[in-house]
Amino acid sequence: VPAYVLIVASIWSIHFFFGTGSARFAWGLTGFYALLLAINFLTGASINYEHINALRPIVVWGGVTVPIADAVVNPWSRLEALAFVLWIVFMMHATVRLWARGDRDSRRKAAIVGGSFLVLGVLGASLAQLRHEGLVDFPYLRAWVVFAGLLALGYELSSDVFRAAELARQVHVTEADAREQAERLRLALTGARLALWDWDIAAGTVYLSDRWQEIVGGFPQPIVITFRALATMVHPDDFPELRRRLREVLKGKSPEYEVDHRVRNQSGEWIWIHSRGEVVSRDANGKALRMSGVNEDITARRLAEERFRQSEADLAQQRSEFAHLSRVSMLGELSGSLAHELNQPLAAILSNAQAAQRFLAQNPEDLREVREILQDIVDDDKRAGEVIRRLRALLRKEEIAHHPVDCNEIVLDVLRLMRSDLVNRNVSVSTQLAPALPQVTGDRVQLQQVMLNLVINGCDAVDALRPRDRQLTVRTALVDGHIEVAVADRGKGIAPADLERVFEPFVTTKPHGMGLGLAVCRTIVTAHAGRIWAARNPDAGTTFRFTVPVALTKAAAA
Amino acid sequence: MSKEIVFIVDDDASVLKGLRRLLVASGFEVAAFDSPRQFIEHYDPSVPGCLVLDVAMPGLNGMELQQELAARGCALPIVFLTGHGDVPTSVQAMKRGAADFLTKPVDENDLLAAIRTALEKGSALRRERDELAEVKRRIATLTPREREVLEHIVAGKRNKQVAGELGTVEKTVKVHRARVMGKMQAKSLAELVRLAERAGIRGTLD
Repeated sequence: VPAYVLIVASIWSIHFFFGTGSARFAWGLTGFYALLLAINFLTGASINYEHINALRPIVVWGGVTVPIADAVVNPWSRLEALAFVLWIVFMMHATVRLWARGDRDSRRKAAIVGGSFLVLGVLGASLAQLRHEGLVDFPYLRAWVVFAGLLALGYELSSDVFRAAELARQVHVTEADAREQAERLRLALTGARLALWDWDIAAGTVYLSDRWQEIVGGFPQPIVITFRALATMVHPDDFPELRRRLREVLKGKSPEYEVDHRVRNQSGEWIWIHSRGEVVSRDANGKALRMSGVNEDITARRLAEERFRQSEADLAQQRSEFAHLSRVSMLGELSGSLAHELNQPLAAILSNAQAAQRFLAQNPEDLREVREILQDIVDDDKRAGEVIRRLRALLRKEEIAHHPVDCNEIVLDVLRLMRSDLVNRNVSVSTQLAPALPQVTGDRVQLQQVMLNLVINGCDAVDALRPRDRQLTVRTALVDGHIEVAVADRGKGIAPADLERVFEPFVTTKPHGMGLGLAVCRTIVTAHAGRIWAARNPDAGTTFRFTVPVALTKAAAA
Repeated sequence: MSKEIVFIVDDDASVLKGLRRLLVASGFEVAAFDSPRQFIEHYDPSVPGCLVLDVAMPGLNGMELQQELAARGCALPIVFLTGHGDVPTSVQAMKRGAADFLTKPVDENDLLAAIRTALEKGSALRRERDELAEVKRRIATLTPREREVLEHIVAGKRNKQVAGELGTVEKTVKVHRARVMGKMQAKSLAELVRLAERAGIRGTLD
């Protein structure tokens, strides 16, 4: 009886432990063994023996003495052998199916438990058969075989219990961790004022976190809406771009997307949203299954940026207008000498033309002289045109244009423009221009204005000196990636305390100055990413310097 | 006497060239200089003519050249040319004896008229200066006594009065007077008075 109980127990243990043994097979075997139990009691001495003649002790391994029956074999015992074979088949079936699951744990169980049952079972069956044939003297060990198998099962089960306990502990820790993580995430999202979304692509639904309620409003809790409904909230102008970016991510062309777009809130206003997201899962074919990301309400930031841009633009506009006004007033100061600059070629043209008339009236006509005169008239006309062009460029009120500019040309242009003013005021200017200076990027007219201002100031500074001391020196040089232009005078100089103040608006050292020239210069130079400053010369006078960074690339200069 | 020369000084090469051509075509003898310095270096005061002078020039300007010439006692008439009709400058130039003050661009008629006037003024000045030199030369031939007599006569005194004041007799005064008239080449008392005044001789009244 214990043997049968053990065998039946092994069948059901395997059935439940492996979860793979066929239930019908198990019931069938159980029934079969119940039948065998009945036969055991009804026929002969037992199912194995017809009669037991005697018990004789035999020695098995290591001197252990086991009594075995010396008896006639019961014919019904063949049925028992068959049952045992069926038991093996059941075990094999269950083990193979468990092995086929493929995971490490299943295979381990199949190998240890199923393996031991099978090996011991086959061993036991073989022994029994040999005994039946009378080839060996050995006790029936079927029950022992099963018992050993059950021990293996027990070992497996107890190790499973330990592992389960360990797992449970781990699960507990992980759960606590997960809760903490979720809480942290929630805090982070709330702190960053981020709204979370999770898009189930197959279902076409989007889960939205609570923050969406605050941003857009009007959703029932919890917020799960269809993707289609969500899409209708996006501004029509922004939707194509959003769709394009989403598609790229869905197709795996880019790992994530980031886009600013507008959505309509509950009260119909457009809210600016910064949206980021990525695909979080794909099926085996790479088709996106789920996508999630965060949204941020950036309406306030966008507004502030917009206002900042607007005020920057306004400021630039004002700067430009101011620079223009100051330029016009400066040219007003120069108007006398500018008129002179125009007058000279006009005077030459008139005298030449009238001389030509006289040469033509002579007999014989002096045509050679007339030809020379005509050439001179053409040259003088061009010269007058050049003066007007330069003047018009300075008077022109244009948007600030950034072009490659040669600082030496600027210096020479300004000195040409001021030529007659310098002559009238008996000021001589010597130039030390560095050859082959790299170009700077800037507004030619505004840089000329700075130069003009510095030269006019220089003239004012030397006005009180004897004519032969009225000298200015203009230098250009390349210093640390900047073009430096210096205008040095030998005037009475500026008090050290005023060196910085002279660049402030309405600060002037001249009796009739407005105090705007240098303030405008500083504005212009700063807008060119440069610097302007004044320093006292060691011997006499002041040097004003300004720098403008060299244009970055050769291509930009071309 | 050599032919009158029109001197031109202008720092602007094309203006200088244009003016030179115009004046040459108008039949003048012209000498052009591109700076006052160059002009001063080459100028011979004995050469008659006039100067066409630009006001605004580097270094020595037109106004300064005018002063410089005046300081040297040159009586060269100056026609100023200026780019801008600067009234204070023109007034000052005219006060210092400028012949004319023209604004560029200058029409040939204005320029030529001004030059002719200046040349005439120059020759008149020269004539006057020559006359004065002649009168002074004649006065220099008088003896101290004759000069005393001349001073008294110019003051409108009679021979008797003169004799009384000089402590001599009327007859002697008459002889001196005849000599003075002769040396001064005066045909009448009126002419003698005019010549003496020209030479800056004031009559002695007491």
